[in-house]
Amino acid sequence: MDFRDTPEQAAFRAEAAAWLDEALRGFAHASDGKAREEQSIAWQARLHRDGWAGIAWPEAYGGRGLGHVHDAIFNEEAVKRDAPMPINVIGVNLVGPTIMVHGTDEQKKRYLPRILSGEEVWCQGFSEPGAGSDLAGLATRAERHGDEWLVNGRKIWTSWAHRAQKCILLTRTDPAAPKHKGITCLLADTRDFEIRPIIMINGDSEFNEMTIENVRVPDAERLGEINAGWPVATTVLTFERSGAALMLQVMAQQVLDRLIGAIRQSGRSDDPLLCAQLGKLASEVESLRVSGIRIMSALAAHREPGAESSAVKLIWARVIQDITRLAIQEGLAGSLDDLGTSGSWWTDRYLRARAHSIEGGTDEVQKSIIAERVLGLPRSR
Amino acid sequence: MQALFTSDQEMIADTASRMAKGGLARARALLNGASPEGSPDGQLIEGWSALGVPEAQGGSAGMVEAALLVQALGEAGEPGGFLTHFQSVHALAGAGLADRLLGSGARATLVDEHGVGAARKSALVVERTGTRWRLREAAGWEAVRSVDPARLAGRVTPGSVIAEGEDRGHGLERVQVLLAAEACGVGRGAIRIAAAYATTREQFGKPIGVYQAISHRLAHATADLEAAWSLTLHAAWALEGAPELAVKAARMAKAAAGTAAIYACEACVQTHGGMGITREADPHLYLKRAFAIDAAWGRAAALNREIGSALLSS
Repeated sequence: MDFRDTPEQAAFRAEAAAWLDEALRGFAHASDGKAREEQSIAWQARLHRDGWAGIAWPEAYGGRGLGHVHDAIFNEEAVKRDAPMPINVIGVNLVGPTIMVHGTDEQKKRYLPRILSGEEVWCQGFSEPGAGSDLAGLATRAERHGDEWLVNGRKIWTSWAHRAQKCILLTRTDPAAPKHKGITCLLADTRDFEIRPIIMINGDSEFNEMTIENVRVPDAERLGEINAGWPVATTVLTFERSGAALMLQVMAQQVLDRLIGAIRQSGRSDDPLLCAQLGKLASEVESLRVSGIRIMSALAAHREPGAESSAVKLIWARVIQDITRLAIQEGLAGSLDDLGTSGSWWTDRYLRARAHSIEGGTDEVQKSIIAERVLGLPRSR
Repeated sequence: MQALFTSDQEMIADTASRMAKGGLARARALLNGASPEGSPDGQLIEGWSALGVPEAQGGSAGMVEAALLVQALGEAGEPGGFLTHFQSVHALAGAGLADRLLGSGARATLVDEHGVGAARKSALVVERTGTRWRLREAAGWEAVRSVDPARLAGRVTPGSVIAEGEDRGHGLERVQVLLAAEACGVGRGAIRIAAAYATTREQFGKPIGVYQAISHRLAHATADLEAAWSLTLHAAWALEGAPELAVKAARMAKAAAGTAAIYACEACVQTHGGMGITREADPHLYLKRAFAIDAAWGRAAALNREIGSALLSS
């Protein structure tokens, strides 16, 4: 058991760190959302130009041919330096790897290079107003008309949709079949979607609602077999969960560091109650780091991570929510009047953190997964 | 990053689980004043006392192995005197004196500042004064009632000192890591019996584990225990692989494991409903053990303050 990088991992980390330091010299996040998106587009192009896009992609598809651990190390170093989010994070991390598994040779040739370069930005058309935790209950309809599918429905919580050209879209193609067996996955153009940004609780608009009316998708753009879209969706969700562990940890560590700074600044470093709460939160953040290393170690050895991976998402959401709430309630964040207005980092972060226990599988879904898969309890649904 | 168990380590965990089988039944026997049957104490003390002790002091393997062993005993609810003996060995290892105890062939009990420990018959005791560990004879024992009635506790009348030395080798942290590992095991054992009960106990025509009010509490406990177990393994590794991290890592592990174990055991009591608050069912055995572990060598409440305070002053 060794929690440190192997010499090879350490060398890769040093190489990544040196490149990031150089690439991010003088970089500062823009204050308005539009400009931040432009930075994300530029960052994707920069990653691609210098060969850091698709670290875990096979070389045959233009990647570096390294493993998930290297990808995670790079992301960890990038988040530490507050790098922008590359615009095509969904394309590179989710859609590309899924096309590699389920796509035709034509699709691989057509899509993979443009994903890495950021020429084509992807979004993920999964959730619907009526299908959140119960994703397989989705109702967006696709009907076969000759060589085309005619699609009608609504999708929601679609990150980057307003910037995307392409969408990995789950549709209902056989309403009579059991719900997991009547879904088909299409690679659709977003051109004819009506896209409405959703203003979030903190004023940002990361997510969109997409209305799809009589949109035609050629059958050649189908990913996987007809009515076999659920295994494709499962592949996407597996990729969504595998690489995130180390990045989540860094996000939590940054919020914790900020709390430590705020307590020091307030002159309350001797407050025993604050010390006790800080100690507990710091241990939870540290648990994310060491669990993340255990998960990445298992992935690197081609083993299935153990129960620690199901714990990480739950604890990550909780600890960031607890830290940001504590800062506000202890008056470390400035006045409570800040709540709901822009300008206060803590209120913004607190409000955004409410989403952590909902996005990427709600706390309730995570707990049901633990109950069924780890504890062997009977299914509740 | 190679934070994985070797096959030898997995074997130790399996062997320990097999040896500790029937631990809860033995705990119940002790509680009822009977003598427990099939205790693995002799076998454990004979064969496993030196596990994780530095080789120079007569030990073998490492702290991860030691943590796996203790975790398995905790999960089984094993009540015997091995754990306090094992802690004594590791405390002395910090002072470079583990071989003195291992070589004596005698059993020891680790006693607190009041001379109280989790056994009442051993020939030797280990105590801490300031930052020194001391191995001495036990002149006599007086029975003490413990929060954990299934583990005999006693107050020692100290006898002559055999050896003592400064804790320069993280003896306290070794003890904390062993306790953290035991707490993780106790919590896991509690969740295991709670899940088994929730699968068989029916109300409103269904096993109660179907209801998320039940299953989600157990899942929450499981997540906290997993976090504590990761911290414990990290601290066990740090004691040998990165000693500069050991103090903070051990504190975090002990605090997180104590808290997670108590929550898991409370969840176990609640899951058992009315039976959970009786002495006829097993949840109370785990619950009381969890509190006893938390109270020993650094309570979560105090450790959390220490951790927070250190972060603010560094």
